[in-house]
Amino acid sequence: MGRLPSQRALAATLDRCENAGHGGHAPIDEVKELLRLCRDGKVRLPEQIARHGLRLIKSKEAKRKLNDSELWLINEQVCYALLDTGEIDEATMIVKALSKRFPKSSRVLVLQGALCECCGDYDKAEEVYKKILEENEAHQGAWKRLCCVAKGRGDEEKAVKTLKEYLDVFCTDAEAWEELASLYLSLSMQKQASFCYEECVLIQPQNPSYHLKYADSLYSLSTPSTLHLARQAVGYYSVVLDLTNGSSVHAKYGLLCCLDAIRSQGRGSSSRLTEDEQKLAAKCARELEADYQEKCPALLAHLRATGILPSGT
Amino acid sequence: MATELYQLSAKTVSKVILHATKYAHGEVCGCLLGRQEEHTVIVEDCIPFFHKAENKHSPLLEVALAQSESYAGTLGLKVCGFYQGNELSDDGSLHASTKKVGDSVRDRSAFPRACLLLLDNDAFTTFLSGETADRLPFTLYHKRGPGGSWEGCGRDNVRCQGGLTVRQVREVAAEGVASGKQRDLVDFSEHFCDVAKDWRNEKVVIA
Repeated sequence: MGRLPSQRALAATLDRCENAGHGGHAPIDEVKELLRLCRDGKVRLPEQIARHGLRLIKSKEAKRKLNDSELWLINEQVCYALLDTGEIDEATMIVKALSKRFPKSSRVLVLQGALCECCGDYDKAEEVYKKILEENEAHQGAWKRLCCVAKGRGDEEKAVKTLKEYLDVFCTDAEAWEELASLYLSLSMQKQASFCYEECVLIQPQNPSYHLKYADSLYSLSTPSTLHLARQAVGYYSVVLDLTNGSSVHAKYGLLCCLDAIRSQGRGSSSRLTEDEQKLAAKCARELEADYQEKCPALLAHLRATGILPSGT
Repeated sequence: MATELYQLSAKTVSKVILHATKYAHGEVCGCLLGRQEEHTVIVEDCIPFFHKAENKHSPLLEVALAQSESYAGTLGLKVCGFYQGNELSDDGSLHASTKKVGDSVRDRSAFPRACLLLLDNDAFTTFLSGETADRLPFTLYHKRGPGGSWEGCGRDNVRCQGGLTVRQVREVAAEGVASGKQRDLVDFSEHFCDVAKDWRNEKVVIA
């Protein structure tokens, strides 16, 4: 798949930072650009951001060159990266500096909470997030972190409860529905998970990954007596193929599995594939085989061994 | 009755560890390939399946299992188990979904001695650092009878294949991680995004 211009810019900048000359120290302007691209694109590259960013924060030259607001933004960004890589001492130092500069900021409080979480002090983290919510009930970040605390403690039921309360208010947050779905899956509650994925599809019908997950969940729920679910899944996998220009291997496999299940498990007339369904299966099989033939022919035999390809292709 | 033994190859141990290292932030899983010799099950290799937890609840699981079975057949092996690394570092429990996959592997391969290998996340860290170099960071579960449940297998009954010591196996695994081999290891989640990525990983660990 072709990459977006912003992705290309990020890859090029990252390459220049990683392979910088003079002693491995990337020039400040390059690092600044890398951090900006990551912030704008919401890209998470903790190891690189922590390494280059920390050096930037500590350099006197950078402090002269950067304006105040960007410098603090970078501090926050680097701090999250440090939490990701587990460098607690450096992170603590930045949190202290930020708290001093912005004593009343809820954004810094969230960071303080995240630091507590990273240290395993979930009680303290919960306290911090609840304090933020007392001030501002609609603070989405704090609410979501509160759910993460429950999850981190291994208390999935409480995480579900917190997330449901959140979704009562912010019911159009597709990412939160997706997270709720995966919590349900980990609790072996497939039906509930499927419902959540359906919400995601309704909120973002243009996003193929939600159609895929919803179709996957429908297929998993289908049994020989509920094959209409597999038929429904076929519809959603087809949408994925429309949205991705026919490039989704996942959707093709899903389609073939569904149609195979209908063919082999159905009783009487329900097991008969319509002409359109047969054509669809044949087309997917052909495309998959061509894809393997071109990119990794050694695996073609294993694809055929799955038995989901319709006979005669 | 003779003691039921399980032997893990250095390749299996290394690949599971590389998979867990590559996706350290989430859960990973895959299947085990092996054979049975009298009372001993020898796990020779493994195929990394997923790092996206939701893939376990999708048709992709069946597809990956069927393709692994076909591949195992070419090596004279069977799919003899499943491995799992949980997301939370202190979560040492065998999840219901993992047991379900274990049951399905056991039935599909007609392999009554099928096993589940659960990665112990805490021990995994100290194993790699060398603090606990004498203990494999896994718990192995098996079923004693047809109607039985998954039970932990005594540590003494799980050994390294080929007479290697745990220390020697650790060296292979740690060397792999240190040289960044996890970047070359490919799982089925990646394969389904780009079929050019070969899930057999034949060149990743040569032990």
